[in-house]
Amino acid sequence: MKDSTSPASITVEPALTRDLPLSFKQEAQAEDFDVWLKAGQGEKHYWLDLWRYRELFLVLAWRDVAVRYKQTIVGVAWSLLQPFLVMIIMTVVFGRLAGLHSDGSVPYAIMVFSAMLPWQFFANSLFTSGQSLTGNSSLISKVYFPRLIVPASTVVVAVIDFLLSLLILGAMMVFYRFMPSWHILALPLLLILAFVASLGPGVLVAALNVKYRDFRFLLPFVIQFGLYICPVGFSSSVVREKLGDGLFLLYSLNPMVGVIDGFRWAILGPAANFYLPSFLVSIAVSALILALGIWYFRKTERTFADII
Amino acid sequence: MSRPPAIRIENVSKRFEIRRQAEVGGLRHALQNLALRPARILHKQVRRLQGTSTGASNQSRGKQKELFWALKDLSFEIKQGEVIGLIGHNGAGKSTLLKIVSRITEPTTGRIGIKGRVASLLEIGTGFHPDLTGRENILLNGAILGMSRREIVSQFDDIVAFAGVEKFIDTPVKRYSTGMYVRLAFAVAAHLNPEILVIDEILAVGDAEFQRKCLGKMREVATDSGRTILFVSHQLTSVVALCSRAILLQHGRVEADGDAKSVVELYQKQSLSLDDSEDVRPSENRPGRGTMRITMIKPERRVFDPAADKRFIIRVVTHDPEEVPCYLTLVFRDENNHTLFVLDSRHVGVPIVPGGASEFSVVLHTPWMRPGEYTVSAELLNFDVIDNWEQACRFGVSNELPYSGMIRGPAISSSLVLPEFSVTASANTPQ
Repeated sequence: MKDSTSPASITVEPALTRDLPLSFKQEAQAEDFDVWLKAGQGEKHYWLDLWRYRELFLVLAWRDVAVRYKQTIVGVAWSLLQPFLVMIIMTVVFGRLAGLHSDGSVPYAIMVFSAMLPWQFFANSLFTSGQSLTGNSSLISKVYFPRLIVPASTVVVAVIDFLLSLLILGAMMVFYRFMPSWHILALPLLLILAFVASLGPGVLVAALNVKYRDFRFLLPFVIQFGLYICPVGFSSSVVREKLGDGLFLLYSLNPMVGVIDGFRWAILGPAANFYLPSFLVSIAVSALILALGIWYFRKTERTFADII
Repeated sequence: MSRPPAIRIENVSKRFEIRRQAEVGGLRHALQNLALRPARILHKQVRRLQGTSTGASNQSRGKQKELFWALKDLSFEIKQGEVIGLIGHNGAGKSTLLKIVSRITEPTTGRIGIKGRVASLLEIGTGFHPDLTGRENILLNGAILGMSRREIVSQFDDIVAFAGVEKFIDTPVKRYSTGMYVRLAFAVAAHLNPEILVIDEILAVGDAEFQRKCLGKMREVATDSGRTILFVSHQLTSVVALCSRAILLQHGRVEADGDAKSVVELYQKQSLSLDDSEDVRPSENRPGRGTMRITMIKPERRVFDPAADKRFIIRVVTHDPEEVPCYLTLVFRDENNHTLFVLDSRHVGVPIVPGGASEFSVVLHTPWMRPGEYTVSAELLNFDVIDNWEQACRFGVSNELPYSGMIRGPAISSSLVLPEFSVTASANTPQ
């Protein structure tokens, strides 16, 4: 028994046949393998791969929704309460105290709330998707899947909050006896626009946050700040009157300006102050940021596991 | 030989940058770099015009980033249906290789060809959420590991039965005992059905009985349907039991490759050389006041026999001669992280005097130790911690049992240490 372990009978030595330089063997045929993994190689079928993992996308989204209100007393009502309370404050501060005018004869509260819908959606999805990668670091460093799934799936939670907030809007319309026009049918399209507008910065911040955790501190600040920069508590027409059309276009570089005006157009109907050039500028900027975000994400995602 | 390859690794290297804690860039650093970029490019251009190489500037940057090659020019091929054990010391590059094969990270150079679906188990219970129930976590974990919903649903009952958590399936897993949690996590993993399975160290969990069950399941998975398995473990016995072939990695290179039993024996025979230090972190990052530091703990052999005297060489260095005398403790843990015993130098009346002796020899006479892998963690203490070095070294205990009887089995694997004992007849049944 012991003899069989003596060096002479060991078939293994530091340099072995299997370790020969590969030029000794026949060249590997590319078609022998499904994939070749190597440095700096972008995924050849990036979007197809993403589609293949759609089930994981749904499961992660489901997890975020399922976990959201565990061990809370009020539960889902938190989703309703938050925007509702902010809306009341905004209405009192800007509508009553500052005495700003609404769009046409629309009740100030409804005007504010129609902006709260996309704003809350934007803030929620930016906040959660921005921190999604670092929050799922154990997944990133232990399992392969297209990383874009992670920030994208967190947005689903924001979509559900958005749908719940629509209930409040409905209740408010009944309370104020406000009848929406046919414009309201554009709401789904505008939700897609809001999705694009928030996914872009979300993806960008998520990727940046992996390397620079500074964004964790920057994010709440930016969101808080954004609530006052964007025309949420007041009509964008107030800004437009002050700035003039030229500067107002500059203001519209903030993609949420166009999204919010779009929502107001859909919900308030013809009374809304809608300025098409500003809307188009915002759409273009949203698309640009999304492209930038995805570009940076794809550029850096291969190293996420190394630095997270 | 006729079997087609499942994985082909061609000249793969992986480099990491180790940065000192204080220099971990952060945003400020990046912005600074960005701002200084024009100046640096200009600087480079000037140098190029002057005809000098950029070697000097590279060197100055090399100071900030220490480069570390986890894998160096690795090449080998794995055939379909092979079960490969990957062994080697901590830091030999085993886990890095698994991460590259599972596409979690990419190689710095070289390439890897893969045929078939890869599922990787680098950690038990990846993605388990404490607030979700057992049922929900099976769904979640299965999806994360790459199972389709249909696969999970069809195997759900098997998974629950294997884990033995039927009663608690609708309880949040945060209320589970550690054992239940681990069993459920392994059960999901054990029901994966990929062509290539990549496993890191996960058998080192749970109690002895469950480990046996896992090993059995692994064997079942390995033998049926020609699945390819790449398996990292420090438990050399399970490598021999499961694998047809083993690869020994050392410093990111293939040291030996061949029949599992011979490679494992070669590994056990190797004595630890000095540069095999386990902890790549510089000692100043360890906890403790740092007035003295342990610089080395080295077992005399890589593998001791269970009943043999086990000698360890320990070196300390004094950074502050004003420090008062202290004492040394060594914590011995087994592969399940159970503490076997703690040595305290005060018990034998040997103080560690700052500026005094710099090398100590610790010899362990008893108890007999069970075959397996062990770690030693060391601490220098007086009124508080001076140095704390977790898992400072690792050693193995061989299968050469000190008993005359040949029986192995549960009596050995369920013991923490092995007793020296005798059984003799002391009376006869009265007739």
